[in-house]
Order: sequence, then structure tokens, then C-alpha cells
Amino acid sequence: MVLPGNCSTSAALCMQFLTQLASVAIDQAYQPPQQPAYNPHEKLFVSYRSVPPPGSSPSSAAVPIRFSSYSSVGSNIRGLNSPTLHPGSIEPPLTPGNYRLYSMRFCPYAQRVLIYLAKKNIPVEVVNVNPDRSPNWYLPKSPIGRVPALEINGKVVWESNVIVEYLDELFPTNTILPRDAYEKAHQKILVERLSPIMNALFEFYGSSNNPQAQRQNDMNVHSALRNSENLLRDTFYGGRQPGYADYLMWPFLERLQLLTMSPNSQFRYFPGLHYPKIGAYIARMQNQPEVLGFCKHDFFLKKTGEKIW
Amino acid sequence: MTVLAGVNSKIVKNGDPAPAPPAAGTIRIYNMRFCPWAQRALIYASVKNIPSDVINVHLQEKPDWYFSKHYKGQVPTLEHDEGKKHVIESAVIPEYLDDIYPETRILPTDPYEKVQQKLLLDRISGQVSPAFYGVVQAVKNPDLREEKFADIKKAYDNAEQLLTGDFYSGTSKPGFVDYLLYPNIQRAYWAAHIVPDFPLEAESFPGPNYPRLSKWYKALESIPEVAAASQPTENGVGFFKDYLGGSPNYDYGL
Repeated sequence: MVLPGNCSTSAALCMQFLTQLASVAIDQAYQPPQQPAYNPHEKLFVSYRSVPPPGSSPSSAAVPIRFSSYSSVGSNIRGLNSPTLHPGSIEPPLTPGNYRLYSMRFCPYAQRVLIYLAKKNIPVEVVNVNPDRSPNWYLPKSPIGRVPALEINGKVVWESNVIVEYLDELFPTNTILPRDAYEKAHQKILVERLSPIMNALFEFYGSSNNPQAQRQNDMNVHSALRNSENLLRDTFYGGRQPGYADYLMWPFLERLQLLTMSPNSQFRYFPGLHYPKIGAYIARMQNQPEVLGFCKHDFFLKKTGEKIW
Repeated sequence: MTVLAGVNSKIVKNGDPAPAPPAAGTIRIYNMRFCPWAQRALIYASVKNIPSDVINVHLQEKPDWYFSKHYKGQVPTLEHDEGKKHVIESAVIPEYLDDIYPETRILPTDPYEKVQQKLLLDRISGQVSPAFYGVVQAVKNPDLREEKFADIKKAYDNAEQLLTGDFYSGTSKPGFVDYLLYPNIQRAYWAAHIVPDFPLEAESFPGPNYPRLSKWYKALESIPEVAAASQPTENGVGFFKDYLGGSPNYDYGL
């Protein structure tokens, strides 16, 4: 069975928590990092926009634009913290030949795509939409108004796992999925085998706060971590470098660390002494540039701990 | 003549010896004759004309050796390269077969067209399949009937609406979505024979409310390569009756 690849009403519990976080962000007047007065890449963006749009086959393979060997990872992404669009908003115009990702800032599925885009250095504009109550103009683009969705030249693709594979096909020079058919199949199978991490996260936030339910949640997390520890046979699940399975699973593992903030959970440290490989793995993943740019960790610890528990 | 050998072989279970690795140039598919997910792999291999050896596995008394091929002991599992490679997941196997046998590719090569086929399959199968298992629940718990029957009607309304031509492939020939969706639709056809007051009709299945789907189902059913990978109606209905009663007979009809 294909894993769910998006935030949708069927993942309402996920959304309920994540939009609650969004409220916390608003309450705290969360400020994105100060933008430099002069954007050193502005000229390059302008020159990119002046490039004629691709020919009649926009879905054919293309080589990503390389701005500069000095540009930082994630500099190809604009609008990451743009204000969320709600019903009644006007659809922002999308210039032909440009990619747009419809996202929600705290959606783990959208984060999968953002990490992939950062790693592949694909220029993209991010537009944040409210997935629970979508603007009318958004509903024809994605069934039930789910995020993430990727748009270019009027063509839209949704489902996070489908989007990232699509990006690898469009930009094969820096593909993340292995080219070998067997290795590629096994990265997808690995995501399925690691899915208890996702399930444990949703169950944790979805269950009531009574001690008995939380003990069951802790057991689920231990089971998921044991499984993840056993499946980690190299530096990353992708091998010596992070790969498809790492990027698709990371947003959920990152959020699972919030367990330590719950007074009802027995987890005081994450993942704890019983999972040394996963502990080292988390430290390595947190230092990957393409992951670091979209890290929710500090934000969660600073804001969530103060408000949610 | 079918390229599938052993589709109707007797089930293997705990205590039976492990089979020899598949011969070079042959793939093996571990199957259960009435499993819709495993049938996807059989149909794909059949349509792609890949010489295949089929072994049916008892899903309640799984052989110990089978867990070295699938970590959960589920079906389907694809085994090839003389037993050195195993691929699982009914959604992963078809794409893998297209990758290693590209001459008979079924998925479009254009990245956007390919993606659209995958999204379309998710949209239809993601409703049709849970709705079918909902009906199974409703048979056991009549309180759920109204809700679950409404779900399956909605799922098939959706499937009818998304079928804009003869096939979901968008061409004059069936494609990826058609072959992978067929097994789950067939299961509802079996159910229509025995579930009282079922919203879908066995006569001209799924019935007069679904004109395009009826034509689609009839077309898929009559493709020899699909039929070779499928169980006949009398076997399917008989198995399903036993399954609903809690005593599935994996060798039904043999």
C-alpha cells in the first residue's frame, strides 16, 4: 500500500496539531530571520526570470540553474515564510516557466519536498495555503485542497512521494533516488518499512493525555525506534550519503523528538540510550545543509514547550 | 498460452520445504490466488509477457522460510536473478518490472504523464479498496451497513466520473491504472453475487448507474493476459463466501 503523501482532511489530527502550532507562532509574533537589506542573489534571480520559458514539453528533463558555487543551500527557495492564503484571497500569478510549491509551513509532507528541492537546488516559489479551508482557486489544483502540490505552466502534481520522484526525473543530473532499478525499489520499500515512525507520531498527538494511553504510545515509539535501529545498516538509509528514504522519513523523526516535552511520556531524552545508531543518525541528519535550512527543532523546543504542555 | 506457470498450484504452508531458486530468465511471484494485491503483480507480468513461476503461500500458516523473502510474510513478493533479489509491495513491483523489462513498458515514459497515472491510481484505488473492506465489515456487523454501502457507492461514483474515455490510460488501450485497479474492482463483482441489497449489481456489473465502468470492466475481463492472472467468478465467489464465514479456503476450486 502506498503511504499517504500529503496533509489532507484524513490526516486531520496531524493538521489539528500543526495548525495549533501555527497559532502559537502568531501569538509569539514569530519573526523569520532578518532578510539582508541587499540580496546578493537578486540579480541572478532576475536573470533567471528573464530566461524564456521551456518549449512545448515543460516536463522534459532540464538541467537546474546553478546560481553560484557560493550560494547557500536553500537559496533557491523563495517565499518559505510567506503569509498563508485563506478563502477570499486572490491567486498569485505564476510566471510561465517557473515552479511553485503550494505548502503549509508546519506540514511534514511538504517539508519532504522542500528538503528535496534544496538538495537539488531547483529554483521554486513557495505559496503557503490553508489546507483545512482552501482558497477556491486552489481546489481545482489539488484534490480536497491538500498540500504539497507542485505547479508549472498550469500542470499540477501532488502527493509528496510522487512529487519528489517527479523532480528526480525532470532533473536527473542530480538524482537522489538510485538509478539502479533494484536499489531504487528498495529505497521505496525502506520508506514503507520505516513507516511505524510516522504512525507513532500520529498516534502520539491523536491520543488522549491519560497515563494509560501514553504508556501505549511510548511502547509504539520504542517499537518504531527498535525497527529503525535495525534497518540502519550504513551511515544513512541511503548509504554513505542521505537518500530518498532519509529525506522522506526525516520530518516525522524530527517531530517525534517533541515526546520529551510531554509530562506523560517516559522519554526524557530522545531517542535514549537504547538506540545509539539512531541517536548518532539524528545528529548527522541535523547537520545536513539541506535539512538544516528547514529545521523545526529549535522552533519546536522554544515555542511548543512553553505553550502546548 | 500463458507465461504464468503455477497460478493454480496448491498452497504451500508451514512445514513445506523451501522451493529451489527460480531459473535464470524467469521471475517468481509469491501469491495467494484470491489476493487482489498479488494479482496486480501477476497481471503485470502476464501482460508484459515475462516468463513467471507462481507459488501460492498460505497466509495463516506461513512457512518459516518465507520470512526471508518478505519481512511480514505477506504477498506479493517478486523473486528473481536466480533467487538473489526480492522486491515487495504491490505498488513497487509493477514499476520495477517496467524498469527491468523496458521493451514491454506499460507506464508512460514522459515524466508528467507517468505521474498522472500514479496519482489517478491513488485517487481511485484509495477509495475503492477501503470501501470494499468496509463492506466486509458490514456483512459481519449489520449496524455498519448503511454507512459502508454509502461509501462503496461513493467510491464507484468517483471511479465512473474519473473514467473519461474507454480506459483510465487515456488511450485506446488499457494501461497502468487499468491493470492495477482491475483486481479490486473484481472483488466487488464477487461481493455483488452474495451480499444482500448490495448497491452494485452483478448483472452488467457494476450496474446501469455506471455505464462507462460497466463497459470498462467487460473489456478488462475479456483480455486473455488478464484472465490468465485472475480466478474465474465461480472460484472467487466461493472463496469469498467462505472468507466472510471466517474460514478461507486458499485452495478453493482445486
